[in-house]
Formats: sequence, C-alpha cells, structure tokens
Amino acid sequence: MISIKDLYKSYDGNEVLHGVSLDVAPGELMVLIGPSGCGKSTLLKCINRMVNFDSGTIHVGGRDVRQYREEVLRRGIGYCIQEVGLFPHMSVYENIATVPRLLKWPEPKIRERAAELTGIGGLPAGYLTKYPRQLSGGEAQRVGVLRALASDPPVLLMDEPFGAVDPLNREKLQKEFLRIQTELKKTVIFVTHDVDEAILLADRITLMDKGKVVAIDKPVGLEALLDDGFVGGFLGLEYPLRLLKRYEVGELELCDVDEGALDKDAGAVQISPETTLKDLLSMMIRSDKDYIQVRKPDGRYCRMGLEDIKWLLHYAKR
Amino acid sequence: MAPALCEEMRKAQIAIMLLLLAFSVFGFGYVEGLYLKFAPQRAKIVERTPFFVLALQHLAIALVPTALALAVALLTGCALHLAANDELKSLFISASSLGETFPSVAIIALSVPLLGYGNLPCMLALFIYALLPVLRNTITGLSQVQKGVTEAAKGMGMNDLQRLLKIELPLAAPIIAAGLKVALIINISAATLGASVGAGGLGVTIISGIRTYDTLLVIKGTLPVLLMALIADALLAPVSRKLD
Repeated sequence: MISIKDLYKSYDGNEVLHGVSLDVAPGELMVLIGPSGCGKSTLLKCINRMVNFDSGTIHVGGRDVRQYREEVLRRGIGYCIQEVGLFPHMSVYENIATVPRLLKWPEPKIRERAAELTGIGGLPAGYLTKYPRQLSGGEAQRVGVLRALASDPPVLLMDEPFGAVDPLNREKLQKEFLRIQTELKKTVIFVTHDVDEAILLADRITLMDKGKVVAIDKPVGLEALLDDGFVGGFLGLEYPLRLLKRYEVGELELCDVDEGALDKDAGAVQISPETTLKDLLSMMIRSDKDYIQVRKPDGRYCRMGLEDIKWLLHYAKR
Repeated sequence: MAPALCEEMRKAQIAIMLLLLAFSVFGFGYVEGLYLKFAPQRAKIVERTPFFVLALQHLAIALVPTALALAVALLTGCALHLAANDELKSLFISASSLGETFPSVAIIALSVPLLGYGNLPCMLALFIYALLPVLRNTITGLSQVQKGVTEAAKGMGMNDLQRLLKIELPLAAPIIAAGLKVALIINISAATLGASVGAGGLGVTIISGIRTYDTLLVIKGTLPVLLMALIADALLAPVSRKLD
C-alpha cells in the first residue's frame, strides 16, 4: 500500500533521512520508533509531502505521491498529530466535516458520516455541537483521530498522536484505537518514541537511528536483536518483559486442565480476558511455585509454567 | 448565565449612551438656555453650519478613513502572511510602531501643502493613523495562530487561501478587532484636530469655544465626541473580548 524507496532528505546540509526504504502492506499498522532526531517524523511527513524529500520515491496505493497536487494528495490521507490541532472556532462537527467539505461531499452525507464516526469513537452524539475548549485532552485527541478518519481514507498517518495525553488516558486511547483499527483495517503509519505503545499497537515495528532503518520486524521478532548495542540500548534489555504486556488472555488459547488434576493446595486464581501474560508471570513470581493455576474466564482451569508463557509469547498470533 | 447578563448590560449601556448622544447633539440648547439665565454676558456666536451637521461630518471624517484603513490593512496583512517573509513582516511591525509615535497634528499639518485645506488632509492623517495599529495587529494575529492548528489544516489538504480564510483570519479576528478598536477611538477624538486646517466636524465648535473663552461651547463640542468614542468601544468590545 505504501512503498518507500531509497529516500534522502537533508536540512541545510544535515542529513535527516539517509536512504530509507520501507514497505507497508494494506491494513498493516506500522510503528516508526527511534530516539528523537532519528528522522521518524520527517519520514512520516514525506508521505503526505508536508516535507519535500530530496530524492527517492514514495508510492501510495501504487501511485507516486509527486504525481498529485499537494492538497489533493493530503485530502486522501488521514493525518493526526500530537498537538491535535482542532480548530478552536469550529464545533466538533465542523472539525470532523473539514476534509469531507474539501472533497465537496453533500452535507447530508457528511452528517451521516459524523454520526457514524461518533459511534466508532465511542463519543456521545451530543459532542458534535461542543467546541474544542469544552473537551478534555483525551476527548480532543479522540476527535482528532475521528477527524482524520472522516472521509474514510485508506491510509492514516499518525505523528505521536497520544504523546501529550496523561498515561492513564493514553492507555485507554491506545486500546480504543486498536479496537477501531481491527474494525476498519486502515493502513497506518504511527510514529512514537514510547516502546510500550509500539509493542501494544504495532503489526510491525520499524526501528530507526540517525536517518537509517535499523530493523523492521514484528514486536516479537525484535527480541532476537537485543544483543545489538543500539537496539538493546533503545528497547531496553527488559524488552521481553514489556512484550508480555501485549498479549491478553482473551486473545490466546490457553490449555485446559481438569479440575481434578489441579494441585489442591495451591488453589487457582480467577483471571479476566484483560489479564496479560505479564500479569500471569507476575503471579508466578509472587507465588513460591514454578507454575500457576488459573481459572479462565470461560470457567475452565489451566496450569502453566514458565515454558508455557514463553511458548505463548512466541507462537501466539494477534 | 453571567455572560448573558453582561451582554444585556452592555446593550443597555449602548442604548443609554445613544440617547445621551442624541441629547448632546439636538438638545444642548436647553442647557445653554439655562446657563444664559445666570451668565448673560456671552459672546454671540453665529453657527454657520447646524450643530447636527457638524456631528455627522465628524462621524464621516472619523469613520471613512478607519474603514478604508481596515480594508487596506487586512489586504496588506494577508498578503504579507501569504508571502511568509518574516523579515518583511517585522519591518512592517516596527514601521507601524514608529509611525504611531508621530503626532497626528504633525501629519495633518504636513499634508496641507499636498492636499490643501479642508477635510482631505485630516482624513489622510486619520487613515495613516488607523492603518498602523490595524496592520500590526493583523500581522501578529495571523502569525499567532497555534502551530498545531495550521499544521493540521495544511495536513488535511487546505491550500494557503483556504487556510487563511477559514482558519487563520477567524482566529486572528479578536486581535484585529482590538487594533481596530484602538484606531477607531483615537480617530474619533483626533478628528477634532481637523478644524485647525479647515475641516468640518465637532472640532469647529470646540475651536470657536476656545477662541471666545466660552467653556460651555467647548463642552458642547466635546460631549458628543466623548460619547461617540464610548459607543465605538462598547460596540467592538464583544469581538475583541473573544481573546480570552
């Protein structure tokens, strides 16, 4: 869906992008991550030509982005930034209607779409008449995402969209966005410097440093590269532990054990679908055994050791 | 609730001031009559132009240059903004600050050799005087729009003109209105100076009062000017108050 080849960009002699190539499949959520100044934001902005690159090519949907007029290109790509940038003098509805109006949609169709979007984003319909100053930070960012989705573009560019939101709300927004994404299957490029965010959201992660791509892999795959000095330093050697947080019991297939086969003395911990592998490991550390027994949401029992958790981490699909 | 109450009070205020203005223009004769009972030895002044005509002239001399200045300042400010040349912008801002330190009497006096006596030199001076604050506020107002807002507008595919008209100008409006308010109030009072170069307006009455040591006549000319300025202030208050 998005194909970037050999991209170079420099500002006043400083090379920001040094031969970056990247392919993103349709419906894939690709996270760009790296230390500040690594060129991840610049790369993102080259795609909708907010930044003009020096050489290389970018194709979106099979078409060179330089064939479009800038404005026309941008109207076809959702764009979401950390500052949100809601227009303060316009209501939430008018904000959402921005791109559809630029695309000259008839007003009834826009109204219908706005109602649909509030449903998708879990906002009460009354919010459409509110003004940005009446929204909390998290709500504003939610509207920002909905505004980017307004004309139903196949591609979404997100530049640290949840970076300015407090940690508690951030996690809520991330989970919500993930739900929206599994439903809508957009092709998303998502810039962040937050490793946990990358692990939670990404189908694949592109790790960048000094204008170059260091690694592209699934979150689990990056674990194998931790011996590399830069990768280990940036992702942190506790990366595998962070990785465990990505997987919730509700999405995994845990083994079944008959109630009779359980160790009677140890008892079983009730878990919910939101319990993560990290929680399971924590429980195991807290108990003085090398396994845990849990009662799953469906009421059945399971007994797991460290090996089982590792196996789930590596072979689980989400 | 409180803003609605404020709004009601502001309307009442404007209504009262309009009534007072009407009285000071048409009904001042009663005050004069009262005064004559106690101080009969007053110099006889023949009004060549009826007082209400002077008041109308005054309004025209103050308002027309301000309106023109608003139009010119908006166009220039927008053009500068679209040109996105920061050096040029700061040049205009410092030039307009410098220009405002120039006394308005001096501008009026200097434009007489060019335009002759009458309303025109006065209006030219007032035009320049209104142009400066409005232009400066247009430039600063447009450049003070939050970076995230302009970036979002650009990223969603608005071109420069759409961004200017739909986003930047509406957001800069309160700042521009604040500049316009200053210009309007200055001009309403400065228009009295025009009488010294043969322009009409309420300055004529004030100057006759000064020449004949007639305090009442000075007050007669001043009162409507004062009320006009207050009304202009109250009328533009809601637009510029949106700032906070």
